[in-house]
Amino acid sequence: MAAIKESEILEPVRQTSPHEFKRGDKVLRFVLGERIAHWNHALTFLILLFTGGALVVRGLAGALDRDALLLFGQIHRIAAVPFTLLTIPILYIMARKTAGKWVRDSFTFDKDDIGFLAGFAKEFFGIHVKLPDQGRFNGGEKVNSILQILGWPVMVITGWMMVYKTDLPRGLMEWVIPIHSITALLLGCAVLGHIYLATVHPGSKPGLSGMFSGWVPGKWAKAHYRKWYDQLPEE
Amino acid sequence: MTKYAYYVDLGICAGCEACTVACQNLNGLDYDMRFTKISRHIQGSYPNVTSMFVANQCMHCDNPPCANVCPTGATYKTSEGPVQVDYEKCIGCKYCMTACPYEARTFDEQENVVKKCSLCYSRLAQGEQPACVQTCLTGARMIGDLDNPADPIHEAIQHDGVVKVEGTSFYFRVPAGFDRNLVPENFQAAGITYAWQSIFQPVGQIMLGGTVGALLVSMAINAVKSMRKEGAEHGGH
Repeated sequence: MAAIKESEILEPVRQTSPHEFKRGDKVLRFVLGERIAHWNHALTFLILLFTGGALVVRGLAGALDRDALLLFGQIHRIAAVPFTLLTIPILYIMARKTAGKWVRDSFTFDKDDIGFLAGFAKEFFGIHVKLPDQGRFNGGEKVNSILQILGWPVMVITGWMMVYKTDLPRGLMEWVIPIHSITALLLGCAVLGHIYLATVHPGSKPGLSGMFSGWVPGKWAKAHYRKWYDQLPEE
Repeated sequence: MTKYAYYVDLGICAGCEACTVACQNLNGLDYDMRFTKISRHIQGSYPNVTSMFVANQCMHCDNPPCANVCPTGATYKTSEGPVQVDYEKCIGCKYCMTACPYEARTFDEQENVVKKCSLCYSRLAQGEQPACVQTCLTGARMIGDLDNPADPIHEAIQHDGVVKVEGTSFYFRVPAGFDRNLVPENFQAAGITYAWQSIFQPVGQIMLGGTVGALLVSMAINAVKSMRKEGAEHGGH
């Protein structure tokens, strides 16, 4: 991979308009605000998933000693603060336009997105299929985005309710606690797939650099997000 | 086998709360932490007033939801009936407090554990009675073994007005003129608590296992494909 010049890193910080563009053989896919928000969400989520999982999955909770579980409980509550408070303000301040577009895109499914979902199951298991051209986010990414966008408030609301569980009605908490756990499990499955696709799966892992430097290979972007790529301006 | 049952004759409970104090003393509890609580119910209007004291504590449910939701297994049901808490394992998450239908659990801030009545299980094992039973001034409280036909509890629970709190280890004798609903209601399983254990947890595990399995299959196929590709490239040279 060619070394990324300093100017390429700084470019996204300046929030030039348009936010996404081609430069040479690279494409700017994510601006700085999106990347910081992504990593805040991702790292706090993983800490919460791991510590929370250890607390509620009986096999795990029974195997760990009390001090470790108490520490996990504390870490869980500390990590919940940036998870709750930071992601949306970062997106709002640093990436308002692109984040807004991401949300709108995520909830807009056209026939190509559906076609992608149908074909991707095969692609996932290494069977090569011709997938329909995709926009900035493919059908699978949209599903993951929807899970995150809807799952986040569920986790935040039910999670903070659980801090005050003995002050709230018992009949309510009987529902809140399992909803928190089952939503976490669902999001945990999605995140496993997400991490796998980003780091291991040969077709999609070239996109990982987009979440670090912001830039992805132009050829890869063209192959995976043709509809988006074609309308990107040159710098 | 032994199957412990607990009986309180509310017709003779004088509301002296000696049981509460004996329990607090034995368990080293603060003044405001009570495993057994006594409340007074007054009915009628002067001069025709009657009153009754009602005891409330851990009912040692047959299928205790507090044990079902406990993530560490600290709370468990013994084969003889009493529901126990291993405080070494309790992490103070309070799930049991939200699951208990009888509000029988109290959080000990200092020790960061959730406590409750143990039915003095360790005393029972030594042939002694629970502190509350032993200290009861009027003899309103009784513990017995339902599996032992000679145990006096069999006679006690045959009295008129005796109410078995279904799904628990408790019997109350409610004096004539007082409503059954004044004593703790029959145990009712909260559907969601059981759904969590019997549906959500297994479904969640299948989901997680399925995801991991799919990833592994995908990883293996792609590894084989890339190895073949490399092999073909090498073969071509």
